[in-house]
Amino acid sequence: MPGRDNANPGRFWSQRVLMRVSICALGALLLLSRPLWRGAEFEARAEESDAAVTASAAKPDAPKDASAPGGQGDLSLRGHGGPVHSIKLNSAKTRALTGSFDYSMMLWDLSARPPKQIRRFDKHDGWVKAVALHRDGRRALSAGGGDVWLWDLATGEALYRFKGHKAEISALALSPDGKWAASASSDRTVRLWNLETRRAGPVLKGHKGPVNAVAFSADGKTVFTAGYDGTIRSWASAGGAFKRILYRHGFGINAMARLPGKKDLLVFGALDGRALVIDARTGERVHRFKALQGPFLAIALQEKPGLLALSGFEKKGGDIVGFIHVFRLGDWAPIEEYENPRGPIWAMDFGAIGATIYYGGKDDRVTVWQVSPRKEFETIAGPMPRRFEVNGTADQGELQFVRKCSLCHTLTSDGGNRAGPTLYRLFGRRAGTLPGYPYSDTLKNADIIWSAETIELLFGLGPSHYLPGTKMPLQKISDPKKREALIAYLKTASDAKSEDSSRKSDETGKDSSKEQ
Amino acid sequence: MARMKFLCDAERCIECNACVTACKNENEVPWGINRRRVVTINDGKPGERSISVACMHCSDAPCMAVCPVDVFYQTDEGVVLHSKDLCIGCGYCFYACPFGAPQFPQVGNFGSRGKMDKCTFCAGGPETDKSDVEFKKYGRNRLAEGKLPLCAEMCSTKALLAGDGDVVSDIYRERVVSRGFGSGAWGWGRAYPGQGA
Repeated sequence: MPGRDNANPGRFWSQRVLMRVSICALGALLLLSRPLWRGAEFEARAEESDAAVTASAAKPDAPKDASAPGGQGDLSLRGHGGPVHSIKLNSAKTRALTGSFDYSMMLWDLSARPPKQIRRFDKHDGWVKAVALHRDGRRALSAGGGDVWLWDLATGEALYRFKGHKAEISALALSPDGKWAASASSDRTVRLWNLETRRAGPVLKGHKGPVNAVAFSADGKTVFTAGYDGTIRSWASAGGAFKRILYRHGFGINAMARLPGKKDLLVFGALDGRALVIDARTGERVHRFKALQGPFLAIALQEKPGLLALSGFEKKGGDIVGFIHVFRLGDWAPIEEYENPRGPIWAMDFGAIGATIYYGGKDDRVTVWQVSPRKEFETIAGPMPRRFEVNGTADQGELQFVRKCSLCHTLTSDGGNRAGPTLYRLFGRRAGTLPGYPYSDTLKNADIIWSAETIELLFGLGPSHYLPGTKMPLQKISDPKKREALIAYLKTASDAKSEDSSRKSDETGKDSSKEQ
Repeated sequence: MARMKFLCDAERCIECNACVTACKNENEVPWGINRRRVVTINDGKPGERSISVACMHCSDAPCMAVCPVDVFYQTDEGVVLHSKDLCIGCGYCFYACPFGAPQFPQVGNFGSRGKMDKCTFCAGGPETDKSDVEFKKYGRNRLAEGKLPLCAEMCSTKALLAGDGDVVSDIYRERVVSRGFGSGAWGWGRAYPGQGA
């Protein structure tokens, strides 16, 4: 079967030359074997559902050159200010929703070349670890921290904010009729939300650890949940009564999805490197995929022509290698494999009717892998290690900034779409006043001018104590010398005159210089 | 330099939870967090086994590999530690660890997870050894005091062993020879690949 030779660990990584030769050969084999899995339905169908979002969209072409940033052939989605953790495409593959560490969700036009950002939804108070597109194509859901947000995609308006979870939400699901949403949280519960009445529904309590995945049955009458306690459970959608434990895997389950069709088959991937398909009606195992040495992290499904992708990471020869394995639904035959030298793959979805996979990892962008015809492995442009992974620098203050601040802040006039406001010209600025940044009410109402003294208090006491209600994560610098060094560095690096030099230690991926 | 390892002999663990209690007490672990727990398989059925599980301080620790802000480091003795100052509570380590070691206090603002907490092999953290700050953030640094983790010290049946990997595996090997069967060293193959007991 094409691609299977790549599954042999060691050879792929340690012998790069052999890898390239074998992949070329496999690519040729795949081209010859395309009819095996590419039926007539494989051809793009731009007219498929989602009329609202497809009305003006063209059928996306196959990618030409995913490694050329900003070029016509570059299909990457560039614009997030933090690693991407959730990706969902509409069924016509013309629009994508992405959620990121930068506290935002973004809507993309995939038919544009390069893909174009349509809108950024930035009102969240925390990371957006899950997104969902409503079947009407006009609305979307996002999980920002512990809240579920309902959005109007056309206007960007937040239609409703569902509150109730006590901890971060890991997964979202929509009922087949589009009336209910379910959110799985690390507070060990799943909550149902009525999208029509905009009222909170039943709370599903019983998991003995964080809940990582949720799905509705084909008829919408049952909710399936999976979590860190290693169980898959079923619940009645109406009333939320616990039905039973469908499957006990033992190890934590990271991802789960219901396969297309009416049989209620569930596929899940776990911490122990195992992925299985089970029958939700009987709880019996239907298929067990080859076990891996690393955890599975994400699942993507493509109803036509019937594909399943599983992603995660493995350690190979001292390197962390992300992987995507593509299988055919039904007989579970392996179709293709992809290895990502830039690390784990946390989120993915099929594009172009199964010909591509959009995936998110440690980078601030969504990358596209051409599944069919298989694109040869290539180096992906972008700085590695990432800006926040640097260990060695002579300046203690710069080290503090890079490791603790740069994930969310830039030092340049361009905020880089990061989770926090830019620190450009920070000293003397009144807190909560940077135009265009969605501050919390706490910051908006704070009577604070940023100075050496106030920054000292911020990190001495901790943001949540100094400014209760701030969106800033729990970052405290307990060593006074490190605080002093950070403040000294910020004084210089946030100054307008030193913008060029600060840019070097603060990769934003952009050269915009809009004034704020 | 010794390579520190945990080994839980599933043939000996009696599910008394003394290790869990010892850990919580010694390190003053906050409410809602258990750095160590006892897992029972086939509870009440033939073949029931209990295992005390915490961070195994893996050779190629997946948590270290997956952390986006690189908070983890491994000491010369092989103990996997992390900096709570750097941790942003993203939970990526939680999705990667096969032993369920990373714990989150759920006190972060806006539903974030807060700082990750896990077993330190009673070796503290990046702060000055045996300082108050180190104790508050990471618990007791018994290794710096010349002692081994209290969970293993307290184990009444010596099911849970902690210390120099060579010594631990020698003890376990003697047990296997003595009782005529093994298979109780749960997790070793995964935590320390290629270094079987």
